[in-house]
Amino acid sequence: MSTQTEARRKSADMSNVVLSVRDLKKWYPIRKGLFSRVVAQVKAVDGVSFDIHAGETLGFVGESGCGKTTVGRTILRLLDPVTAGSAHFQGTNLFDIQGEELRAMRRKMQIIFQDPYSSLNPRMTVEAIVGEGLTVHGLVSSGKERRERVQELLKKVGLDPVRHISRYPHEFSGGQRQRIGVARAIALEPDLIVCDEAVSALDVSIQAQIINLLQGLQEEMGMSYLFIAHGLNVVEHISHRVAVMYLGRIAETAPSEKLYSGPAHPYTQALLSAIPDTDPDAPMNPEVLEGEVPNPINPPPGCRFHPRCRFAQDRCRSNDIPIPVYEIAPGHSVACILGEQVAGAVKIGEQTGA
Amino acid sequence: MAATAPEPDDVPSDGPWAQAWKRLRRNRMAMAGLVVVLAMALSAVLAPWIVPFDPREMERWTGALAPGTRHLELCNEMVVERGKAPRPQDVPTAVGKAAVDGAAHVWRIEVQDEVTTLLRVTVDGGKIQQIGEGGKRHTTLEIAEDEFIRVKDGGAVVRVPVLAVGGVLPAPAPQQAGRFVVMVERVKRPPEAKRTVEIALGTDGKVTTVTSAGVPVDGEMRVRAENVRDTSLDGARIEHSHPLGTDQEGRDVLARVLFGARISLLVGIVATFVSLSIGVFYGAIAGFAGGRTDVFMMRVVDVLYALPYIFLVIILLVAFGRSLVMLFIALGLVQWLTPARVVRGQILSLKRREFVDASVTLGATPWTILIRHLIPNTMGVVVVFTTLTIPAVILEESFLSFIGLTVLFRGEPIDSWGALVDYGRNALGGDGERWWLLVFPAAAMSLTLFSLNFLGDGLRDALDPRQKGRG
Repeated sequence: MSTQTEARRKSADMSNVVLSVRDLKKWYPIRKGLFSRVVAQVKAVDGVSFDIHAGETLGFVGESGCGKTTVGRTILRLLDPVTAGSAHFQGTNLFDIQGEELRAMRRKMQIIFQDPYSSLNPRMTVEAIVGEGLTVHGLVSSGKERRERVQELLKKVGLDPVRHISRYPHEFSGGQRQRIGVARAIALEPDLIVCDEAVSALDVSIQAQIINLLQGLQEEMGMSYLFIAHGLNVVEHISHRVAVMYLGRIAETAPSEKLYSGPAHPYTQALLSAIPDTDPDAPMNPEVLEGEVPNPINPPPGCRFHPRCRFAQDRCRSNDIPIPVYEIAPGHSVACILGEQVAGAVKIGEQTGA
Repeated sequence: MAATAPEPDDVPSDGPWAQAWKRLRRNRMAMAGLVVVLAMALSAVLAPWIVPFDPREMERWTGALAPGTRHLELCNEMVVERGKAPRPQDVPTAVGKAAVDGAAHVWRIEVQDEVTTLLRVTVDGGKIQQIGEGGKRHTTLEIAEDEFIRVKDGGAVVRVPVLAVGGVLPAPAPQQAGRFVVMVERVKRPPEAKRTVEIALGTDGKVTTVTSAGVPVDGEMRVRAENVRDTSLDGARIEHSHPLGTDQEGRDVLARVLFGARISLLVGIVATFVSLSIGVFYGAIAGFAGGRTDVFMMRVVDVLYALPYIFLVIILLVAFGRSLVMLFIALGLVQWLTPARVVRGQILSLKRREFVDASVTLGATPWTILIRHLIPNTMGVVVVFTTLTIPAVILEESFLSFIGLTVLFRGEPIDSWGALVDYGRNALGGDGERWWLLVFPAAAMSLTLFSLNFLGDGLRDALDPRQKGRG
């Protein structure tokens, strides 16, 4: 596994940034009263920055409600308007473009959804679903050409190009449906695919199949993935780098084996200790997190994690002092004051309070 | 692997509609409804070929005939012309025979020409008051032995020796109270005017040649069918049969019911189509746009809902004329509201489904998403609404006809089922002796409405199995 991962690491071109997101914020106003006065903001995403390189898979993990799905959808312009920040995709700020320009840009970014049932139109055949993008962008000139292209795509995702092409979604199993979703996403040969919990709804055995399929497609076509998941184990297998999100912010970003071998952020440490070992004799002493995830309407001041953190100090609890972001190793950054204790840590930014 | 294990890979693919059809076929009531509706629609379309009568053709002299009555063709004019088929209602036997044989057929009829004199007979209280002939007035009028009298425009032949003031008009006349004038013909049939006409019919049922007493006839020949004996058919008179009887104007009830079906079904289908088209698009746009647009559009629907619609319809019909177009507008104005609400609700939930996001990501325009993804997914509801709205519209149109707001088409009241039921109720008679005038139109209408409702219920179950068993 690790040698395979190593080989894949090399296929990712770390010098070529495909997507560069800076200080992304997506707030939802809460309106009340007769004049729809804004009384509060749900800070679903509150200052997220990351880069994705060509051919790279960036894993996004975090608990439910931490904003990881919102990040993916905001980048795809499925949730307009964005509150603040920028997302440069191949040099173009995605939040600046509209209309035809945006439509053209959409060819390069696709999404695979969590729910293989609601993500496929029940009234359309596989051919129409997979070929929709080809038709929308005028990439095929005839029905025959579209059919041939769809058949190629079905072959790529491991479906039967002859028997499956004229069927409807309800005739497929969950795994097969997800393959249809993958075929639809790769139909336009995008440079980036957001996998929004793409395997979370599937059986474990089928999860592995889909992940292998995604990895195979990446090697063949060279696209990047933003792989969103709530389970660390799934992300570990597919990702080159992993970003851990907590309450609308990124706590830690690291190459995946470094994250698993040496987590620097207390939240990442707690998450990793919660993964059960496959060895039944291994001692199980998870570091149990106290308390609940705070409400994003009224997030805690200072470090978002401080109410549940074992190491929290006074300066973590105040909005007056920004939380520093340290790069503690190449490609490994952590948003925690503990980062300064690591030898060779360089402060590369900070997260300001609410 | 679980993903691919038990796939019936070689069965042909079933689309959502094919599945719905399978479920519908198991529903006996719905299938019976479907059969009845189709049969009714088919006989409405084929009405002119099923009944040889024009539903508006009056034979006043017959009055209301009970179902199953047969009577001789008496008052029709028969028209034969080379190159044309004889009018089927005039010559049912001959055309029928030619059609069955598929061969050339010579139709031989005996024609007796007649000489008529017109009389104006004034009747008051059933008694003859005046007899006018040309400029003269008679108190008594002797009718010669080879003459007879006949009420003009449809009346039985009556042989009486004398017609006198103070006496009773022996011929069946329109039943009216008070004083009125009856046009009566005094008819003489000279024996020498009897001649044999041979009409040669081609294999296509059209007249090839006409000869009268051996002399070829050019152009049109008109004879009173009353004076015609079909000698090629053993001298049988042309006979009419009315399986459902006739009304008081002598119109065939079967013909009126079948032609009424045409109108009622047409009104139902057109008004439903119009209102559903409006409703689906309005609801879809409101639901898809969301936000303030949605709120505004739905408040408009609420306001229209609040109006007492039957008054609205009546006011519209009275103010703008009782035309067919106005009827469609009036009914459409009411009927699109419910589908608009239902479709909006459907769209609201559908647009949150991920396949819509997928389509956005693929670069589809909002319009494409609405047309390709959202509206097709509401078609199940729309089909159900169609089958349930058609009977509702038929019933409303019938109600309007019943309260006297019969819609006019080309200046004449349309004979929809509602109008027929209204007529039948008025003509029923004290003891219901003319029951067939009410029973048959009402039965046809009820049967169709029941069938459409059963079909609609069946379709709802078939198209949305999860709804089964709920209200």
